[in-house]
Amino acid sequence: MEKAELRLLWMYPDILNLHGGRGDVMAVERLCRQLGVALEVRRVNRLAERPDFTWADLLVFGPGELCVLPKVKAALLSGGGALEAYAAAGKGILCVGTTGALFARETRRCGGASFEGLGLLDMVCTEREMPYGDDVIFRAGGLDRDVCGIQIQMVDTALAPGQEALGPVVYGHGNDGGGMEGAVRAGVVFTNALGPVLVKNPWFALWLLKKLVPALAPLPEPDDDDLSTLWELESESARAILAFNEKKEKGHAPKA
Amino acid sequence: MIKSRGMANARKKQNPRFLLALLAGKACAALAGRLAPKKGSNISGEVALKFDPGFLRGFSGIDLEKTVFITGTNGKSTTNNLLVHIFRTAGRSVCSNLEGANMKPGAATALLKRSTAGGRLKDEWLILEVDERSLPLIHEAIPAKHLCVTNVQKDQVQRNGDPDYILRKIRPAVGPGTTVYVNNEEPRSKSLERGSGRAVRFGVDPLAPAGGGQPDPYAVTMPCPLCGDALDFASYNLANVGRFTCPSCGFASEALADYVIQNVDASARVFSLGGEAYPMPYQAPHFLYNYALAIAVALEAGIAPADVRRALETFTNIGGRFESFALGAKTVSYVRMKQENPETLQSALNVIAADSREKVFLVGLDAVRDFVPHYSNTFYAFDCDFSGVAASGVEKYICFGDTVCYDTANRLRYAGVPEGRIEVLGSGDEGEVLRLVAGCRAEAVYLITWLKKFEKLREKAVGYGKG
Repeated sequence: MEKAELRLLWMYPDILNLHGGRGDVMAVERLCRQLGVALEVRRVNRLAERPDFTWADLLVFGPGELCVLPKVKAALLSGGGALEAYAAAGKGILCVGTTGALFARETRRCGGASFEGLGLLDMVCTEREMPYGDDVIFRAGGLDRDVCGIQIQMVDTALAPGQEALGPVVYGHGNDGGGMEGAVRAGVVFTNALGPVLVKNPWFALWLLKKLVPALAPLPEPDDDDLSTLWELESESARAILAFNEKKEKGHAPKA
Repeated sequence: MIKSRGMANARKKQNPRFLLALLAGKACAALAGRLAPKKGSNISGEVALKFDPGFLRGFSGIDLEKTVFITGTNGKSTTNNLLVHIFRTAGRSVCSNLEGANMKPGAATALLKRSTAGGRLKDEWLILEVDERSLPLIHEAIPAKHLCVTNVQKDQVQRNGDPDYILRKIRPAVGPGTTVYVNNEEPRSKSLERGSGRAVRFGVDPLAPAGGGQPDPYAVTMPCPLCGDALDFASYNLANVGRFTCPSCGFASEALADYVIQNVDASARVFSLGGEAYPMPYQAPHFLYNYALAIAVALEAGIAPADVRRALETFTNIGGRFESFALGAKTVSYVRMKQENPETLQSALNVIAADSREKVFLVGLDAVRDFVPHYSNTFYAFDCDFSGVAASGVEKYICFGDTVCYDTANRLRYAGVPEGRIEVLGSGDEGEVLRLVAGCRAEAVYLITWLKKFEKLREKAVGYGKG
């Protein structure tokens, strides 16, 4: 049988460099090793680079600051339609944390300014006056396990009618305190969850890879018994964090 | 050179509300001084601000040309303590908040304690450590002409969000009338020179040669604070602090800053700056930036190098030395870090990695319980490089604590630590922790945890194993 392959473009890791986000790419590497998938990772470091999107199966955008997103957007759109073609083909894009605003229709900054995003997700982000940090626990569609992460919410995100969420919130703030987390459209997945979320939840990483990269669909399901054995430490972590969140003193995020 | 514009003698006609607040604050300070002399660094200021929210504006006799604010992510307290020590050693009278209460009530407390009954500051100089998020409020009331920015880095994300959020808090305090002291090797701090009346740059010569070794495919730098593109670092003195360049816009550290620490000799505990030799009370690299900044301000204020030297010889910094306790034949060395602060975690890891002896690595990161909601954040560990520790001869890694010990162990696994060397204790029980440590062969033990947990472990270790 031919070995499965995954070609990952790690987008602007020096620019979108917050919250240990590089761990998500490390997690993909670890998972690929566990599953026997041949992984190649290429970095796109500078805004002037013109990456070959046709090479890639998956683009990963880590969490970054709002201030750099308009420049990242401009860089992405200067590739003669290459990103647009990639996205139109339904190929995989994962974006994490505040970088979700890059894929939104619009982001409204404090003080009245705003900038347009790529519009690949039908949502509007509004910058918060103050950050909000908490655990976030959610379910992703069809995945029969909780996904545990951390939110550092710099923007609240309102999904437009018809824009599908990644899943319902079990605990935490999610997009805007309204009970939903993240967004998904065609091959684009956005989550607020940091952690790094793929490190803490390898079952979610596998679910994502199977969803976003058609060639990886034959991989085992996330509830496979053999994988559970490999993921004992992560399962213990999830149990401890669920217990912590049940007992802890909770707060509420003020409105954005 | 810092000069007075003669504002010190300006008298204000005080409003009754301010005077009442001052009276209440002073009474509270006197009471707190009797009841709990070691506590209450904030309380009298809080009381005064309740009486008069504009309390900070009410003081007279503050010479803004002799007012220095020290802000930034890491190193504020050390720099403030050292700077005040230098000024006082040189015979200058200084009002400061040395207890580390660096928000509005802390500033109010410092001022009310050092002012007359009419609200006139008794001291010539006002040197305050100022919390980054509080800077806009404090600076609006007291527009200091001298602003020191140690660095602007990832820190306490639940309240600080990201570094740009903090940079935006600091930027309005920098104007044409401000002298800003910026870290030549920390890009966000250095970016604040733009828009200032004058920038004084401090720095440290590269401590290690650039390059060498296999490049880390997961190494990341940071965005340029001016143009947003990726910065290049030629070398690092600390995590994210070193000689940098932006290939896109040309923003870069200066080849030679105004005040540069050079010729660092760790064994002789000396360094030089501007051709003068100075003693080095603490050796960890991050202290060098505190020294450089404090010396820069002192020399700008006309203090003689000989006075600076005398001050450094007698400087004691709370928490500056590594604390330790004995556990049988073992020595447990506690390496401090700030919670959710990858730069200080990296500094701690570097200290441990520099010791080539066989050792036990004992780590008790905990859930973050700063304020509600508490949460289980450990992602800052993924901003750090554990490979140095992993290659430094660790016999056993022990991760303890009831919530995030598994995530900590997982981080070690990602650094290439064999699973068989990692022990996970899903509780913070001090007896259990010490029992695991006692069962190890290595005599050197390094501990990373929060201060309270260290104190409990130290207490438990007294008489450990006896009965």
